[in-house]
Parts: sequence; structure tokens; C-alpha cells
Amino acid sequence: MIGTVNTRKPKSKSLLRRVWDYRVIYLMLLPTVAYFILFKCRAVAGMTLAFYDYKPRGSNVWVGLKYFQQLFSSPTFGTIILNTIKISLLRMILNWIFPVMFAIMQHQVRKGPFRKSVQVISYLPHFLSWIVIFGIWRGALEYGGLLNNIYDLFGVEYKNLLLRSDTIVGVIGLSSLWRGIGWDSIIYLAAILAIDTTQFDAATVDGASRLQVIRHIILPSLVPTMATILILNCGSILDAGVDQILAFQNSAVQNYIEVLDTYVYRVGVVQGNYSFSTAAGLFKSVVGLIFVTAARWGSGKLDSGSAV
Amino acid sequence: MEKNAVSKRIPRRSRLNRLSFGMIMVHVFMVFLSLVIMVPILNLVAKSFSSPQSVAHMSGFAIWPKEFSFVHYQVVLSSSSIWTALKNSLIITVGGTGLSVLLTCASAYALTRPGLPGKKLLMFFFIAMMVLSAPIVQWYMVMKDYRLLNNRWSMILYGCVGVYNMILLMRFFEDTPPSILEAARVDGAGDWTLLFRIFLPLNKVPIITIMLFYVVPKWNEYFASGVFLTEQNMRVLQVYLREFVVNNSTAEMGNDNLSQYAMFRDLNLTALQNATIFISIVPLLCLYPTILKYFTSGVLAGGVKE
Repeated sequence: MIGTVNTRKPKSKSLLRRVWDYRVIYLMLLPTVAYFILFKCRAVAGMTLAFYDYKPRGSNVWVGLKYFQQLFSSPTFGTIILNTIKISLLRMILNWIFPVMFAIMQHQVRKGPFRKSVQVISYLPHFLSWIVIFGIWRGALEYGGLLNNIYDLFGVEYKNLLLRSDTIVGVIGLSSLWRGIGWDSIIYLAAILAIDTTQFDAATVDGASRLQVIRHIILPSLVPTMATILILNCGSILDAGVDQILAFQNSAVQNYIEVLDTYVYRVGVVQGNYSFSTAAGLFKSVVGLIFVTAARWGSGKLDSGSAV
Repeated sequence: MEKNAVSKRIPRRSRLNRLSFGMIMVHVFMVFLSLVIMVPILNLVAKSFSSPQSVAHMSGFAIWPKEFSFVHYQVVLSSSSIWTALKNSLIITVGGTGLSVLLTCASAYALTRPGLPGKKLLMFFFIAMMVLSAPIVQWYMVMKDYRLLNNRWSMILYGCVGVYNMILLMRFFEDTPPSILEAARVDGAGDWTLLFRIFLPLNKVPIITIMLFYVVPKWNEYFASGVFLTEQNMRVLQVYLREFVVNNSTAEMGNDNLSQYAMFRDLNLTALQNATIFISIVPLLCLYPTILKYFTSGVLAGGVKE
């Protein structure tokens, strides 16, 4: 058991002996590994159900690609994929550009109570559940709510944005930005704070303006972080945020923001069509895996490229 | 001396810059953002604390209650189902976080032992577990097979170990000075003693951080818990909120319960919903100072080392 520190020549021991030395360590790992095998692996392996007809009693019947054919030939599937990509791209871009801008602004404002309170306020929505956020947004967007009051100030007629098919996607994007702008800016702020301050001093001595400092010192040093975040997010292109969408769906707009995850939930869990919804879920998992791998591979290329 | 004079003048000039148009716009934007976030939240809270008659007349800008009243909280808290939901959420959040933190610490400790045979294979396994995902319907069937539906264990076990958290913790455990370990080994400390007596106390900050990484999503989760825990007495608070706030279903509160209130017709549904929402975020607001202290450093540690 103590062999870890004292032994300088581990090669002289047989593998079996070494494993035995570490038995307590393996015991510590056992519950975690068991959890993953018994639950996660089982759920992942269960996706083979997409190729079978589900039978509550007895064994399932192999049907090959029947459910995938059903899926790809269904008229709603194309719309759902389009919705998913549209919403996740919107969220991705909004939550990519604005946090960067916000981080730069935080850096420009002098350290003090003003900056601190803006930060404390802006991080707060990240910790609210989507149900709560929906409650807050509905309060602000419904008739007689905050936005209605603002429209009235300008004498414009107001229609509830949550019930309109042409605005609901925008509401999803903006509420996602509302939740994330402060929190997502932290990582960029950290990157800015990591810049050697002598660079700023040198630029100031040379008479550079604020904008020039931002353009030539801050932005270039943010590029790696921005690229990493964008690449990582590309892996979840089919993840439109099921928690958010389910909260914002209502009968008036449901079809306009139905995404892959909510579809899997509705068809599988609500309607009990297990095989079909698993096929849709498997499609999503495979596409996600391809994007993640491609993104990792791409970021590897990018890193080695910038190193050369 | 001269050098000093120069460096003193520079900050003064940049302070002048602060009054430029751009800087004014930056401050304006920050105030605007704070208002956009806080006004709707305060408006919601203000309405929940106002008397039923005045809620309907309150504008969206109101951030202070009109005719202060607790009646909506009285009504909401008088239904037994919200207490059941609160109890279930607490059990799952506290129990689930305890188990998660324990397993994550034990695994991170084990995986950072030098010379552990099969470490590469184990890491490959964990990374694979992080990348792979299964649709909710498959999780539903797994829980069904284990007869865990409508059992709180389903939500305690769902997403029990976060590989990302484990890797984050491993980075800190690796930095533990080896001299301390050797000293403890000489004193005859086993691995369990090392983990609980040395690693956990030494790494309080990262452990509290990952604890918060588990607590917040567990408290806010409603999608999976809505699928696994459907029976009335197993519902968690967020699912209760969803029924009541999103689906506007007063059945959640028990109709007979509401009709006890003679003035129910005069109660304001929005204000009742707002009161329920506020109750659900009070625990988070209590945790928020701690969260700010640890979460931010945790995010930075994860981000900077990535």
C-alpha cells in the first residue's frame, strides 16, 4: 500500500503485484466507475433500441433502419432540425460577441463600487432556473408589463412578444443573452486581466487612445479564448437548450420553437413512442459527436498552426 | 524624481479620458444592463408583496410594493404540496450534492496517485463518459428498469459525477506538496486518512467550488425530474413551479385549499405565481455571496488552465 512513494524501481514488480498495491485506490474509484457503467453506459447502449421495435414484454424485434426512414421522411423533421440550428446559432453568436464587449467595458471602468455592483447584478441571472427566468420575462412582456409600458410611452401598439411566431425566436435568444452576458464575460475578463500591464503603460506613454489600446492590445489577446469558446460551442450545434425551450413553449408558438430535444421528449416520454424518439436522439448524439470531434481536431490544428 | 513626475502625469491624463464620450456610453450601457436585469426581478418581487387589489394597477416599472401585504405568501405556503415539493428538492439537492462531492473527491484523489496502473485507460473511460450523451427517453428507461421512477434516488443518481468537476479537482490535488504526503505516509497514514485528513482540508476552496457547481444545477433542474418524479408526493419544487407558473395550473395548489380563502376571487394569480417564484430563489439568494466568492474563482481556474 505504501509502495507509491518509497519504491523507486516499480518495473521490478509484476503488474499484478502493482495492482494489488493500489487496491485501496481502486476501491475509491469503484463507486464512480460503477455509476457510469450501470447508468450512463446503459443509457448510451440503450440507444440501439432505435433499430428495434420496443416490446414491453419479451424481446425486442429487429427492424433495421425503419425508424430512421420514418424520421427522415417525416415532414416535421426538417423543420425541427432547422429550428434547432437556428436557435442554437442565435444563442451561440449572441452569447459570444456580447460577453466579450461587456468584458472589455468592465475592464475600462475603474475598479470600485460601481463596477463591482454591475458585476454582481449581471452574474445573478445565471443562477436562476429557466422556469424562474420565464416567470420574470413573462411578467415583463405580458400586457401591462414593463415592455408594454415602454411601448405606451412612445405610443406604439404592443403585442405580446411571447405569443407571436415572428418574435419568439428573438425572445429565446435575448433571454439567453440576459442570462449569460455577465457570467460568460468572466472568462474574457480573466484573459484581459492576464495581459501584462506594462503593455498598457507603454501604449499610454506612446499616446495611444483607449480605442487604439482595445483594438491593438486587448482584442488580439482575446482571440485565442474567443476561438476556443466558439469551437467548443460548435460541438453542441444541435443543443438548443431544452430547459429554456420547454419553459418558453406555449400553444401559440410551439411549432416555431420545437427543437430536437423537445421533440424527443414529446414523442418518447409523453407519447411513449420509445424506438422512434430514440432514433431521433441517436441522430442528435451522433451529429453532436461528429461536431465535437471535428471541433477538437480543428482546435488542435489551430493551436499547432499558431505555434508555427 | 523626473521619472516620477512623468508617471504621475499619465494617470491624470487617462482620468481625463474617462470623461470622453465613449466612456460615458460605457457607463450608460452598464447602468442600462443593470436596470434590464434588476427591474423585472424587483417588479416581480414587489408585486408578490403587494395587496391583491393593487397588483393589477402596478406598472412594470414599480420596484416597491403597493399596500404591503403577505397574503399571497400565506396562500402559497398554506398548500401542503409546496412543502412536499420543497422537502423533495432539499433532499435531492443536499443528498445528491453530498454523494456527488464524495465520489468526485474520491475519484480525483485516486486518479492523481502517482504510478497508478491503468490510469490512462481510466481517464479515457471518463472522457468518453463526458463526451457521450443519451437522450432523455433512454434515461427514463434505465430508471424504469431499476424501478427508480418516482423514487428520489433517480434524481440523486442522475448526473451524479461530473467528469469536468473531477478533472478540475484533479488539477488542485496534483498541486498538493509531496513533502506533506511523505510525512503522513511515514506516520503510517493510509489512503483514506490521507484523503479525509489532508487532501480535503488542504483543498477547501476548490471543493466548495465544485460543491456549488453541483448544488445550483440540482436545485434548478426541472426537465429530468419532471420525467422521473411524476407522482404528486415526489414532485420537486421546479416541477411544481412549472405546473403553476408556466402551465398556470392552480390544481397544483389544491383547489379545495384555495377555496378556503373566501377572498380567493380577489387574489391575483400573477402575484401568487410571483410569490412562489420568489420562494424558490430565496435559497439561491442566501447562497449568492458564497457563490460569488467561490464560483468565479472556480470558473477562472477551469478556464485559465484549459
